[in-house]
Amino acid sequence: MLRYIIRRLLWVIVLLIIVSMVTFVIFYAFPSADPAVLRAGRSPSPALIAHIRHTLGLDQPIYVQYWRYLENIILHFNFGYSYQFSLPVTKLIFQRLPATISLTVGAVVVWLLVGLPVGMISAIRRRTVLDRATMTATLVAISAPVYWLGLMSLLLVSNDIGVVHIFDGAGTYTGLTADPGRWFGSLILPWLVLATAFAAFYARLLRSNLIETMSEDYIRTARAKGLPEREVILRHGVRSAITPIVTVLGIDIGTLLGGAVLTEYVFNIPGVGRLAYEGIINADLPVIQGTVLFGAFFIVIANLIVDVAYAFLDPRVRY
Amino acid sequence: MGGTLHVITAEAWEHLDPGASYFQIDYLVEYATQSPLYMFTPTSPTKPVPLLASGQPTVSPDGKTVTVHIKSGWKFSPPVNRTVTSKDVAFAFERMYNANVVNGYAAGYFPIVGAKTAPGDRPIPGISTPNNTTIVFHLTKPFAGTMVKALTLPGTSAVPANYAPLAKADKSSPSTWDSNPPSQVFTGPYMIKSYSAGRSMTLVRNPNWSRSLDGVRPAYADTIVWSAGNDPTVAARQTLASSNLLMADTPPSPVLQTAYQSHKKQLSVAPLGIYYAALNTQVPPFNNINLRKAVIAMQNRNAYLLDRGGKLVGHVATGFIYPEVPGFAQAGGNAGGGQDFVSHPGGDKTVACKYMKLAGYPNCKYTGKYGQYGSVLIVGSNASPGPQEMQTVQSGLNALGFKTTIKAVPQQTMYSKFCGYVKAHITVCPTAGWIEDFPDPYAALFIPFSGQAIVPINNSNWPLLNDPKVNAALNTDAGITNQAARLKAFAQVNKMIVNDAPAIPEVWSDNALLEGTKVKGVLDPWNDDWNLAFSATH
Repeated sequence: MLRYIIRRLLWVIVLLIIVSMVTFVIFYAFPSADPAVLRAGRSPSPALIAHIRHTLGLDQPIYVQYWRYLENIILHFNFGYSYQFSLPVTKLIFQRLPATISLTVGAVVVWLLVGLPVGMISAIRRRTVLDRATMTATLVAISAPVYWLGLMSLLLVSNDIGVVHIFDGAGTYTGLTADPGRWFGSLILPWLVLATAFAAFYARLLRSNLIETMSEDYIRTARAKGLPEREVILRHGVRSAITPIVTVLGIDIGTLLGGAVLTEYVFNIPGVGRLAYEGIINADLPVIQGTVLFGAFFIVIANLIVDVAYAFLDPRVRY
Repeated sequence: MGGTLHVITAEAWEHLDPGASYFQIDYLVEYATQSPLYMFTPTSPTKPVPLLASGQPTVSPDGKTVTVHIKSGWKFSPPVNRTVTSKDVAFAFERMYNANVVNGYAAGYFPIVGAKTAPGDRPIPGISTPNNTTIVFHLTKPFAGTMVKALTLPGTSAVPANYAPLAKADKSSPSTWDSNPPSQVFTGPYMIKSYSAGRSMTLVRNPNWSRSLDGVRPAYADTIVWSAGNDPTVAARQTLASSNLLMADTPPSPVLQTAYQSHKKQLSVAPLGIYYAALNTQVPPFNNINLRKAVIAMQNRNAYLLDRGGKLVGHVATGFIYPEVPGFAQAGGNAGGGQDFVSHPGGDKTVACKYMKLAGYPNCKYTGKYGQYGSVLIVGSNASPGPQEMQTVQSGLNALGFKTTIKAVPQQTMYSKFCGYVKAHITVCPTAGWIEDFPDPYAALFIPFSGQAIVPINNSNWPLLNDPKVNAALNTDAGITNQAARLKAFAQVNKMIVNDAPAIPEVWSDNALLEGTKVKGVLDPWNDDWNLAFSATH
């Protein structure tokens, strides 16, 4: 197992180098806008643009630029300097990471608490009214764009612009350490909005897996042995059916830690996704590149954790 | 007096170093926390009022020397605490020419003898400070008439000379003075107490600021709390539903319509700037002036206004001096200069045909050559209303027989890779826009239309207009100090530019702003936004 983890960690490094290369080529070799011009602002003198180009190293050959970029990341953990905010990208990302983690963790809890029971009940009560109703609801939830859902929820139930004043609205996010109560209150609505589609998807996924699993021979054997139905479902059915969900969960968590762009945007949660959005809008290339690399990092690490977790969930898996 | 003013925006700040600040939203902070030599105020939107300066500047008869006296006893905020001197103002100009600070306008508006953009803070030979309250600028050309207006820009705010943290910050490239705004030194009524990039900012009173010495800014609020990075729709609705919010950027059209219908008291409108479709005057086919006039005459310019949201957001433009700019009335006001090819906002086929014939196309259809792209290449922003505007211009061009190709790109890319990149030779840029740096016709016309302002990259003279007569007139008129004569002269330049037909005048835009029910927002018409040092909560 240890050798496997070390091997995977080495692959993580290789993968991140490849990602850095691809993002560098996209954003530096073929940028959507000239970084020096963007930094210079409106109507600068040619001397100023030349100075900025030199400062940013843009007057060097591409391979030298990439090598310096990689060197800065590896040796100094330096992802560059934001044109818009005049701050190091690393500092910006770390400032915003707690909000993204808060949003992700809470949403994961919500969608697992909602999605898994709904999936199980639907599978067990297959073809009943309850099953059809929940599956229709999940279809609607999956189809609703998160930005629209966010706006609608604010217009309906936020305590500033909502029809009914229930939850804290947009722009109220407070850090956990600053005020835990306000932190929780400000995130309830974003958690619900972000979790809606995921909960629906997980419910449908678990339902289909569980239906298939419950028709397996070993389930019949378990029942024949006289095990209580509850134990048959939870110990033998769900444990097997949940394995693919763990795979998807790992990827989803990794993706969201890279930034839940739309949810952060509509609720003005100062997270990494919001930062990535601002980077894109302002063609702030170091920020775009930094957030992409961080996103990639979280995804590959989450995948690694999932693969290791497989060994514990599925006795057939050995490394 | 007192209380907390809450500001909300979708956009966030870019640069809060007064030497680097060059953005509408940033100016709201700068004019509350710093003190330029002069200031356009809500009550004096076209004539600069002395702020740090003790009176109007003295200009030499040749227009090449400007002398400014500053008030005695004005102090920097903590931790510097000392009195501001003319050397601090001189240092502010040195910083603007420090390439590490990255100032976007110094070279254009402050042509001081010996000033050169280069890394590092260094004395400028053309600035002298004979005593602690006097500063003299020696200019390379007779430019005083324009420079005295530009002395309102944030870069002219005094910054402490010989202050070790600032000197150290300016040695970095870029200067790190911009990285942590609360650690800066302030001369305005407020100081930045806390700042989170792109998220939030809190301004508190500057204990060393004196209302009586300032004499201009009332600074009603005790604290100003600013939340940035909000979704514009949500922020606009929050402002309408609130008692204490001031929204400092334009709300989306649907919310704006709601405000017009049922929250009119919470709505203020200021003229914003101009949008126009630049026609490249240096490459075929629009290097032919009559073809340009034909195209302008054929355009349905009402459609551009509809593309942007209709009468709620502005008026159909007829020239390049727009309503908020002094000289608008002298240039003919809404009616413009009377040129036949801009007189019919809905388009006029007869006039268009007249100019097509003058261009050598008797059937009123273009059959000539195109440049390198084989058709008229239209490049515009892919964000609304860019695509609609491109279709509008395309429709007018097709009606005259032009073959067209549309390329929609992000706004930043449009400027830096296409319309602002001379070698790209883009034929039409229909989503270009301009807001003047300060309320003066020179600031509205020079960069967008002077041949001397053309630069190979990041060019803002998008039509690449290089008419020697216009260039000469802009240079000559820049030195005029008598306001009436100046406005008359620039109205004439505007007429010359319209006659050159470098662009389709689309829309004179308005900026609509929202405020909560118990906020008294005061507009700075020249910056098209609120002035926080004048706004208050009830």
